[in-house]
Amino acid sequence: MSTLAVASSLLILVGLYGVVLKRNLLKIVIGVELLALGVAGLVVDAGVIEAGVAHVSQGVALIAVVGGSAVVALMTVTAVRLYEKHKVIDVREMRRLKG
Amino acid sequence: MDSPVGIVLLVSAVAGIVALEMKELKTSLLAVGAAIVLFAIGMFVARAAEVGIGALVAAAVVLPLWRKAFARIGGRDEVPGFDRSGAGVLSGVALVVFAVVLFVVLGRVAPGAPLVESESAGGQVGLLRELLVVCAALAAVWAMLRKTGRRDE
Repeated sequence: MSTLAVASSLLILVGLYGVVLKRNLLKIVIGVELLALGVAGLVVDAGVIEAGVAHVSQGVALIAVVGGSAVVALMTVTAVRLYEKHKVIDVREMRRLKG
Repeated sequence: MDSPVGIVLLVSAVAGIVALEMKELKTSLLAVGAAIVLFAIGMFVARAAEVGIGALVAAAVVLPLWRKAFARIGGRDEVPGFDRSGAGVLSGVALVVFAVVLFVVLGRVAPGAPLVESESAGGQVGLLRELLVVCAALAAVWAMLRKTGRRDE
C-alpha cells in the first residue's frame, strides 16, 4: 500500500468526520471539500505508472476536484442564504426545511 | 517519489482536521486553504500537474467565497462540536468501523498485493457479503423513512 493511498484515505476520513459529526453547516462544507480532495488523491494513486501518472487517471481526478469545488460553492451559498433568512447555521436546528 | 507525496498529503489531512476543529473561523479558513494548497503541491510532486492546477484553481474560487461566507456569519463558530446523544456516538463508531474497513480493503487491492480470487456468489463468504449489502440497503431505507416521518412534527 503506497503512502499516497494512505494519505488520501486519511483525507477522505477527515472529510467524512466533518460531514458526519460536525453540526456547523460551513464545517460540513469544508468536510465535503476535503472528501473530494481525498478521492482525487486515491484516483491519482490508482493511475501511477513508471512515467508519472496516467492521463485518464489525472482527468478523472481533475473532475473530482473541480466537481467537488462546484458542489462546495453551491453549498456555501445555500448555507449563507439559509443563515440570512433563518439565523441558523446548526444543522440540528433546521427544522423548517423538513417536508 | 511516493513518500514525499504521502507526507505532503498527510500534512494536508492534519490541516484539514485543524480547519474542522478551530472555533475561530478565520483560522479555519487559513487551515483549509493550507490543506488545499498542500494537496496541489503533493500532486505536482506526484507529476499529476493537471490535478495540481485544478486544485489551485478550485482554491482560488472556493477560498474567497468561504471568506465572504465566514464574514457574513460571524467570526466564531458557536455551534457545539459534537452531538453527544446516542445518534452522535453511533455515527462516530460507524466512522471508525468504516476507517478500519477502508484500510483493510486498501491493503488487499494495493498494487503489488497478491491477487486473491473472489469468492463466487452463493459461497459462504459471498452469502455474508450479500447479506451485508441487503442490511445496508435496508438501513438506508429505514433512515429515509424515519426522516420523512418527522415532517409532521
